[in-house]
Parts: sequence; structure tokens; C-alpha cells
Amino acid sequence: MQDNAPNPRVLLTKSFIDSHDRAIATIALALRDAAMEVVLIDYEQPEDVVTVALQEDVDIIGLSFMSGGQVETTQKIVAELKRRGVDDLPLVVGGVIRPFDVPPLEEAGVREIFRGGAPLADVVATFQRLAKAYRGYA
Amino acid sequence: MAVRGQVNGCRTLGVTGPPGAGKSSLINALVQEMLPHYPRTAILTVDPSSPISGGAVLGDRVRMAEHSANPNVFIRSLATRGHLGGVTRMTRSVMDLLAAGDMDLVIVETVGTGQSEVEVAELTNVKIVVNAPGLGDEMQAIKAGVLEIADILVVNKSDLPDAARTAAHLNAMLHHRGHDEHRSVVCVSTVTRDGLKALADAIEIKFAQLAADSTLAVPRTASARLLLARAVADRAEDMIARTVDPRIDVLVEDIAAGLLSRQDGARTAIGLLGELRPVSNARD
Amino acid sequence: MAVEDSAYGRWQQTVAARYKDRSFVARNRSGVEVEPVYSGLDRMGNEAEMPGQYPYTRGIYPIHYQYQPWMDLQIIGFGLPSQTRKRMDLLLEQGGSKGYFDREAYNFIFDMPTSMGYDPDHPGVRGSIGDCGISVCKASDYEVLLDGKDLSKTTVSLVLNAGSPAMLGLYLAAAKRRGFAFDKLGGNLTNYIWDFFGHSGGTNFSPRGSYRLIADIASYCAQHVPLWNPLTISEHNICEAGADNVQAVAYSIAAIIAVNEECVKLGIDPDSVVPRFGFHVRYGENFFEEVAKTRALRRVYAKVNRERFGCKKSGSLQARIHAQTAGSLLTVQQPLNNLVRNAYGALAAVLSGANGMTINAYDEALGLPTEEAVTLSLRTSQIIAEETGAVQVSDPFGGSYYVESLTDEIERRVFEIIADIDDRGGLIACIESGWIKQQVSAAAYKWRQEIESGERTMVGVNKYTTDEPEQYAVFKPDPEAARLAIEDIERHRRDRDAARCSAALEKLREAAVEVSEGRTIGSVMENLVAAAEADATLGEMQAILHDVFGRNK
Repeated sequence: MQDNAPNPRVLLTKSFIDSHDRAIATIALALRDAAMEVVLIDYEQPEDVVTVALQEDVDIIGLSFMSGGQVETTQKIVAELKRRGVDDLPLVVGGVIRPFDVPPLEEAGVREIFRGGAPLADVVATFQRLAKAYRGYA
Repeated sequence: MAVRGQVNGCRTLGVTGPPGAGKSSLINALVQEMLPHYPRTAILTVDPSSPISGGAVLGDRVRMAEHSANPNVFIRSLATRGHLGGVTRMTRSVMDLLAAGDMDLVIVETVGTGQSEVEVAELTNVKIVVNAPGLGDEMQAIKAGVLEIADILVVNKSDLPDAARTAAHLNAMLHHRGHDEHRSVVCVSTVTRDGLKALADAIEIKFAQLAADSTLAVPRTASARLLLARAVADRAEDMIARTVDPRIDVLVEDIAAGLLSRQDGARTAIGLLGELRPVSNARD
Repeated sequence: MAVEDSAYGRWQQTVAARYKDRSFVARNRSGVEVEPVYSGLDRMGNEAEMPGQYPYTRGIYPIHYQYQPWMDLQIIGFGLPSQTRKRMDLLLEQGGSKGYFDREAYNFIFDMPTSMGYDPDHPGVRGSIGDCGISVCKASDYEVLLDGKDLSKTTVSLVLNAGSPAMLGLYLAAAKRRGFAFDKLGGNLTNYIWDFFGHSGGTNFSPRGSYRLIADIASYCAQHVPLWNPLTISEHNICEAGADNVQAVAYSIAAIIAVNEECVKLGIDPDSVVPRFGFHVRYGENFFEEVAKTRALRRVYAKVNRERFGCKKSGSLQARIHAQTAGSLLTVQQPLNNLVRNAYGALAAVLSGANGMTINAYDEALGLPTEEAVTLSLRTSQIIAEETGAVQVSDPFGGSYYVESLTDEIERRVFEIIADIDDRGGLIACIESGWIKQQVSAAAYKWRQEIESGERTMVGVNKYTTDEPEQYAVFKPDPEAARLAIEDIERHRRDRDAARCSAALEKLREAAVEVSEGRTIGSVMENLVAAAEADATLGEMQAILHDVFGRNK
């Protein structure tokens, strides 16, 4: 593969009170196997996600929700990204996303929504594409 | 730009030890202890990249959540990205930038079982090696080379019953090394916070000695030899992995086909090393 | 008799002749090779064991469902206590909520903040309040939830994680206020504080702190609340985190070993606490493997408790099992298929001789279950119990060449993993080093890759897919619940006797330090009850326990 783009750096995160980490751990391994560097954290405050994303210089943020908080948390993170002048940093969301969560998530500017059963290959390709576009390699 | 350590007052601390020793938690607790003296602190955690894909899962930061919200603590997770002495060079660059950026303290965490931890630790003024009870064979847990580089030996999880035994074991190892061995073992617990102050003080004393005696920053001969050996191995690995030389390809194919033993292949490859041209696409 | 002269030998020759070199050996979820058929030759020399006899492979009772059917415990809980109460009344009307011997039984699930021990006004939890479970943070919430119920005739199951110890404090305090004697109270505390999978963050207790707290609660309950089950080991959660069945059984047994070792260290006789421990087991995709793992689990449990810990009471050797169908197998795609999956999972549980049953709602992958879906889960259980005849014979697979052979193989592999964990310094060391989590994540990833490659079929996901439009009703939680819960707790903090509450919390801290340092045991639970009676909240008690017992780092 002739590709000079650097390997994407990704922040994958879920709330500190959400005990379901099977999905996020699996996605992390899939992204690793696609040559990405994946930083994992559990956030206590939605705003912390942005601090970490900036310190870690990531190209994309993935949020996992298995037990609530989908819309409210995402909106707070988006607001913080704007406040800190990085609202072009792509944000994707996965997990239990209910039909009524979708319109407000899309309105908040979430680039992609992955629900249970989404093929890993699609997930990986989407991270790849959005991260490279963010760095200006696509 | 060559900014490091003493130049502008930025101190650097290396923390290494086997998996499960509790390095990240210890750093998390130690930073709380040291923050009053070093209000601007950076932590670099270095984890291995997957040798197959080149990707990495960087999870150390999870254990430092308390500092996530503090704008004066900067945490960055680095992957070794495997090759060309990449760890050392990349880590050094990041440290230089942080020092230039007016950080008071830079802490570098590495896993003490991989190849490059000794080199990375050599980048720092003071090195601590962390061990903990219950990690199985302690001789295995602290490898000789890692012990060489330690300025301070730490037994973490001192609230556990076996901690005293682990400390005694380390003390015995030091004792066997003879008269010029002055290093000591510090026991700490991040649960009870026992020993954290003592550890911070011990680090402080080392920093002070460093300022007074610049020769301390020079690696001991034994460790310099080890460093050289590791650096050669790293460089060789990288060249073999990235070269496009057909002579190496033949060796690889023969080994894969079972026509050539690895040892014989290695002997031939070493002879070719001087002529190989590396191709790099690493992100530095 | 030589193999080649036997029926098996003749069968082998026929297969070899007819199908040439083709292999019909399959691999199950745990990687065990499964032959196309089993014969008596696979298991020679084993004398028939009967149900109700050590080592309880065939069940813990000599007569089981024929005498007492399983307890249906549908998961229930969302929003505020008042909202959940309405759902409880509906379920009761439908013939659900039946416990043993005409008791009512409720299986409460809490929202994530509550489950982890945080109050609704804790910063950072707001979006999750009342979503996916009930929000409960004070003793008076149980007055709403269980208003008018005779608690001496109600079995209450409290399903939660790190918030477990303080939650039991709230429930017992509420019961005490209403005048119920503790020795009449029956129920379960899942007490998943020992759980080491989904808790990469610091909401759980440190592994060592967890096991100390479990011993404290168990010894308190043995003395004061003797009918209460203070610990459920969740094989289910381990499987759901991605472990295969063999790993999940082995890690569950390892957890029991760690609890027992902690008890022995503190001078607690295992026979005084172990009979009240139980298991929560997952019934998922491999029908026969689920049955065999249950049989192996009961056998290994009995052997470990008797041989390793010298337990003598029969109750200490009998693994009580609460079954739950596999939530991670529920698909968003073609969600009605989940009804069928759940029915097979439930049938596997019944044929395994489970003691209690939770059948997930078919629409859980979409969000919180609707009332219709909850009713269908209950009907599934009722159909198995009352239509299929599956309850007429205990351990119907006993003697099956295949299931017996698989049971033996799972047992063998489980003991291998336990020996490995022992070599690595025990379960706690394995949790601390991250080894367990690595093993589980690797198994989860492997499973996912099998789905991706098509090696493993999920109907409607990677095979037989359709482009159907989404048209299913999805339960929408009340967006007002968060605001109401926060107002409620603020009012509560204003109105309570602040001095009394702080004094009780201070005593809790002192007791926690004593227990943490090993000078006494049982007094954390005692002081949790006292603090809850003095109107302390879940989060306030949790903060103290976190402080003293350490957080999971």
C-alpha cells in the first residue's frame, strides 16, 4: 500500500459509570490491527474528553454508550470542542443508539452512528477515512 | 534545539517495571505528592506497538484519571512504533518540546520487559524501577539490565502481606553487588499512601545530587555496554524488517521454507548489514 | 471388547468408507472439538450419579421442577421509583413476579449512576439518570417502590455493581423503619463489586477492597439477615464481556476461591457463609455447551469447596444458579428473531436445572424493553414450564454420551485454568496485572472476527439479512426523571437531620478503617444500615467506602 499518511491516532471513550466495555475493547483491537494508535479512557466529565483529545493529538473521537447519556453527553462534548476551537475534529458514536437518539445526535454534528452488529470492517474504514480527512490526507 | 534536564530547570524522571507492578497508579499518586513543587508536570507513557500491524492500544491513562481535568498536568500516550531506535528518538523529541514549553517535571513511564525501556530511561535524570509482591518469579520480574539503571528501587503495594519479602529480596540482590552499592529500596502503597512522601523526598535528593554533580547523569559502564548492545539489536531488527534488499529476501524465503536455520541466516545477515538501505515510513 | 469389533468401530469404518477423508469434527464456543456423534466408549467406567448427590453434576435437588418450578425474575426498573412501581404492578397482574412458595419476587436493575454508587446530583452522571434502570439513592425510595408490600413475603433481588454494599444498607434500613425483623427478609444482593471486566475506570473498589467488603457483608448477613443471599458470582457478566464458557466458569470458580480465601484469612468459617452464595449464569448460543457447562460448574464448585476449603455443609457444596439469556446475542436487525434466541437460551437453562430465570426482552438491543416485550419474556418461561413437559424429568441429558463427555472436558479445562491462575499468584494478582482482562478481550475479539468472517452465523446480521425499515416500538424513558430525581435528593438533603447523618457517616468511616485493617469484620454493613437509617445517601456512603477500600486503578 503506497500511502504516506501517518497512522491515525484515535480516542475511544465511555463514561466512568458505564460498565459495558466489550464493544469498546473489541473496536480498540480492530483499530489497532488496522495500524491505528488507540488511546482509551473513561471520562468523568464530558468536557474531559476534549482535554484528552487535545493532549493526545488524536484525529478522531469515538464515544460508546451502552447505558444512557447518549444525547446529553454528546452535546456537551460538541459544545466543548467548539469552545476550544476544534469543532472540525470528527466525532463518531456507537452502542445502544435508539431511534429517538438519532436526530439530536445528527444535529449535534456526529459524523457516524454505529449500532450493534455494524460490521467491524465498516467501522474501521470509517475511522480511517474520517481521521485521514481531518489530517488533510484524503 | 537541545533542551533537556538542567538546562532550564526541567527535571526528568523515568519510571519502569514489569506489567502489574502498578506503575501508572504509582505515578498518579506520586504526581499528587510532587505537584506543589512542580506545578507544571508532564507524563509520557510509552507502550509497545503491535509488531504485526504497527497499531497500539494505549490504556495507561485510564489509571491517571484524577489528573485529566487539571490543565497543568499534561499526559501523552506514546507507542514505541518499533523501529530505528524510534522510541528513544521520538520520546527525546517530545521531552525536548515539553522542557522548552516550561514544564517543571517530565515523567516517562515504560514497561520494564520490552527492549527499549533501558534506553528510554536513560533519557531521564532519575530512574525508578517499580516492583510489587505477587508477580511470580521476582528474578524474572526485574531483569538484570533494568536493575542496572535504577537510581531508586520501589516496592509498590506495600499494604500487601508479601511486600516485606519482596523488599528483602531486592535488598539481598543489592547486597550481593558489593561495597559501592548505595541504592536503597523504598516501599510505597497507593492505597494507604504510605511511603509516597518518602519516595518523593528520595527523588528530590537525587535531583539535588544531579545538580551538584553532573557526572551522575553519565551512565555507568555496565549499563552503557548494555545500551550499546540493545541499540545495535534494535537497529539491526529495523533494517532487516524494512529493507528491500533481494539478498535478505532470499534468506527470509529459505528460513520460511525450512532450508536455512535462523542462526545461520542471522550470521549471513549480520555480514550484510553494513550494505543495507533502510526504507522508513514511520511517523516521527 | 476391542474398538474395531464394537458398534462404534463399525460406524467409524462406514464413515471412513463413505465420506473418505472428510472431517465432521466441529468446534464449539470454547474451542472444544465436538465429534459428530458420541458413544459409550467415550466415557467408560463412570458410575451413574443421581441428582441431589455430591458432586451435584445432575442438579442440587433429588426432585426439582417436579416439586418447585424455577423462580421467574424478569428484570425490572427504569426512571423514578414511582415509575418502576407501576411496571411492577402490571407484571404481577400478568402472573409474573412469582417467587418460591407464593412469595412475590422482584429483580430490580438500577441506572448506571446508582449501580456504581453515585447520587443523581453527582456531576457527570446527569444524562444517565433513570435511563436503563431505577434511580435510587436513599432509604425512603424503597417506601415508594415497595409501598404496602409485606417484605417478609417478598423476595427482592438487587442487581448492581460497586454500589451494592451501600444499596443493601438502604434496603435494610427501609425494612427496619417499617418494622420488619431482619431474620424474615429474603433476597439477593448481586454484589458485583468483585467484577473485573467492565470496570477499567475507578468506579469499582480495588480488587482487594472488594473481597474484604464481600467478607464483611457475608459475615454480617450470616449473623443478622440469615435468609439473605449476599453474593452472586456472575458467570453471565464474564461471558457477556466476551469470555468463552470454559473461561467464564473457571473465572467464576476462581472468584469463589478468592472470597473463601479472604474469609479463611479473617477467621470466618466458610461453612457459615458459603451456603448463601450463588451464581448468575448466561445461556447463549451453544445449546449443548450451555447444559454441559452448568453441569461442570456444579461439579467443580462442589469439589473445590469440599476438597480445597473443607466445607462440610451440603449447602456449601450446592451451586444455586440463576439463569439469564444472553443480552449480547440480541440483535438490532430483525429484532423478533431475539424471541426465538431467548426461548432456546431459556430451554437450555431449564434442561440444565437452573433455579431462577431471567429471560431478556427481545427488544433490549433497541433500548429499554417495552411492556409488550416484557410480557412475552414471561410467556416464554410459562410455555416452557407449562406446555413443553421439560419439567417432568430432572437432568434429561444425564447419560447422553455427548453431554457427559462435554461436561467432563469442560471440567478438565476449568481445573487447568484454575491451576494457571494459582501459578500466577491467584485471581487478585491476575486482575491487577490485567491478565484476566486481556484474556477476556481477546476472546471477545475472536468471537467478533468469527462473525465478520462468516465462520459464525448470526441470522439477520451476517446471513439472511434484509433491508427492512425500522418499525418497532421503542420504550422512551421519561426525560423529566433526571430533573425530578435531582430535586428530590436536594430536598432530602435539606430536610434531614444533618448532625445525625454526619455522625452516622463518621461512624461508618471508623468502622470501615477497622475492617480494612483486619481488626474486625461485619461492622461496615452494620454501619451502612445505621447511616442509611440516618438518611445518608448512597453516594455519601460510597464516597467513604471508596476512600477507605481504595478504587480500582
